Amino acid sequence: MNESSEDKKKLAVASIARLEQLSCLRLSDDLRAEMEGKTFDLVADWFAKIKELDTKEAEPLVNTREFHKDGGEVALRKDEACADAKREELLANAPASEGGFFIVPQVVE
Amino acid sequence: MPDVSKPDNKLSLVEMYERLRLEKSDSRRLDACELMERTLEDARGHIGAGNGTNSFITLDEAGARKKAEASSKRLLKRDRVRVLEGIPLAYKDMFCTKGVRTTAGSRMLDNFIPPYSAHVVELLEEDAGAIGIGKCNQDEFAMGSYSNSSYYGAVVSPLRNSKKSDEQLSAGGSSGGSAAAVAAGIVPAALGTDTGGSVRQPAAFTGCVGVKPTYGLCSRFGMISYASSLDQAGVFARSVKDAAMVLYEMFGHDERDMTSVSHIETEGKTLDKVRLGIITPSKKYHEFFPHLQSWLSQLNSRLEGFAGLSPIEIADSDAKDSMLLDPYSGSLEAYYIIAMAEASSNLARYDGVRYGYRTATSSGEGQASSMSLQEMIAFSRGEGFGSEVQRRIIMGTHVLSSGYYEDTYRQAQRVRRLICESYRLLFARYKFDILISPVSPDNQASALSMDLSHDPLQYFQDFYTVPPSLAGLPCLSLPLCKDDDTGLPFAVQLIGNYFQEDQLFDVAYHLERHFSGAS
Repeated sequence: MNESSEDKKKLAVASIARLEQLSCLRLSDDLRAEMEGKTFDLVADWFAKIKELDTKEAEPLVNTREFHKDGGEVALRKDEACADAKREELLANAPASEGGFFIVPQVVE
Repeated sequence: MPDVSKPDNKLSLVEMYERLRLEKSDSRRLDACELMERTLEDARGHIGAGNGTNSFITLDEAGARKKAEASSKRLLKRDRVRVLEGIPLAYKDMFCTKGVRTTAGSRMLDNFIPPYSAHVVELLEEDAGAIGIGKCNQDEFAMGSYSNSSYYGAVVSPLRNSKKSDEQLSAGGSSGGSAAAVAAGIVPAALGTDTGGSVRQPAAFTGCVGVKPTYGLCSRFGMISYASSLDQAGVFARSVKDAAMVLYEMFGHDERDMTSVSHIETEGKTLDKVRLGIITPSKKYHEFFPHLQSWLSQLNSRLEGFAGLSPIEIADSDAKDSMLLDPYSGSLEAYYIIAMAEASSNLARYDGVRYGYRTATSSGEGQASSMSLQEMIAFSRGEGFGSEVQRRIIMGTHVLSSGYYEDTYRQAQRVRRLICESYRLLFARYKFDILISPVSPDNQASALSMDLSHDPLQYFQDFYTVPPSLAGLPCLSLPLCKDDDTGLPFAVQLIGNYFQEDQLFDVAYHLERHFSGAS
């Protein structure tokens, strides 16, 4: 392994550790090794190529609605609190609940 | 004249519609309960790896029977009979169904029972009288092109290559279970979701009609999110008419999805005025598409003699005085950057707290645990999600992180605008009404044994389907005939302008009739 590819590997390892933290996701050892060894660079380098396209004239597009014939406005609903489901119904899917609350590991000492 | 020799559940939706409504004295009359029993019996052979096509994850037998009984009574009494009364449908497991497990093909949601149904499911069942029999297998969280990343095993196509009949084929993805269920004749139609081709490509591989409507036509409420600015519900059926009958019952504004549109203006054009154009990538890329030339020559020879439409013109982005912009340029990169970014954000909701999988190593019973809340969430996500989902969350987080956001994510959004502009030119300045393109670079389904799930090469599979997805245009995948060589479907993708679903169906219907030999 030459120096530059070693550097690259180090960079991938550091990036993935940071991304795991940011996305609150713990990769399995196998998947992390695969990402560090190949996939991360492959996909990140491919994505980076998009920089080369000339987009000076173009504003970023979030919603295709402006290309509709009538320009289509987004109709917003009223800003009112509403409950579509009952508390028990929502808690029924929780991995752990008690007394009407979700149970999580202790967060306060 | 309905075909009485077919088992009831293999009939087309239109035939079912007619025969469910016949007089009791008519021997060809279908009863909704009997139809449901045959459908369920058939579907039971397709759940779990090794069973048939493995196209189902969950069947709701009790619920389906109850609804069939009610439909049967309505039909007998001719009492408030609805359009799709008694018709069995299947839903990709991305659509929430009240009281029926909804997994998204993931261990993460293995036990999830939604307290509500998707808006499209409500419309189809409550307003139109259709009956959902169960939930179809798929790539986990709709991320994939082969339907082989499901926690519940890979989907197997019911079709075979006539030259290699012992080889199992992929049903395509990500809505492969819905495609296989329709192709195998279990249900006349099924719902899928299409973010970058997940209805169109499996439809092409299994010989179904697959339609992805204009972004905003159908509400996404209750559809599990992958990439919200691209996700749309779509329909699989065995004919254009059947697909249209289902789609027309599931669109409309829903205030729970702000991107669903409230009114639609369409301009009808008679068929003889419709202009078709074949759109393919610029010639400089042709070396990457070994099947493109044969697809083009097959299409040209088969469309010869197709009367009623104006001549086909090649929209070639290389030709001078032709397209100013090329909708293929940068589209695959832009699509994957945007889709993964949105996925990393959408999938942040799976935390092992409110619903979904929680790691067994954390105490869930309120006792002291060695794990912090943060660790519990990170481990739950690592164990609950499959590999491809995790790769996409990581890469999506990467493009949104500081230092990359402007050059990748924002740049992808700029490219997205250019792609929309290029379609606008094609439709407005060059006056095309419908664009025809291949559906996938491979043209045909690959062997099930070919595993690309660890290889970003699989992303290339979406080359032809992502540009119209980025623009939010309606598309329809249409099998025209069987390939002379393999006997597998030869399909095309039809792309229309915004809300031109009527025209898309009209052209597709006439192409379908032309190829079936009807005049």
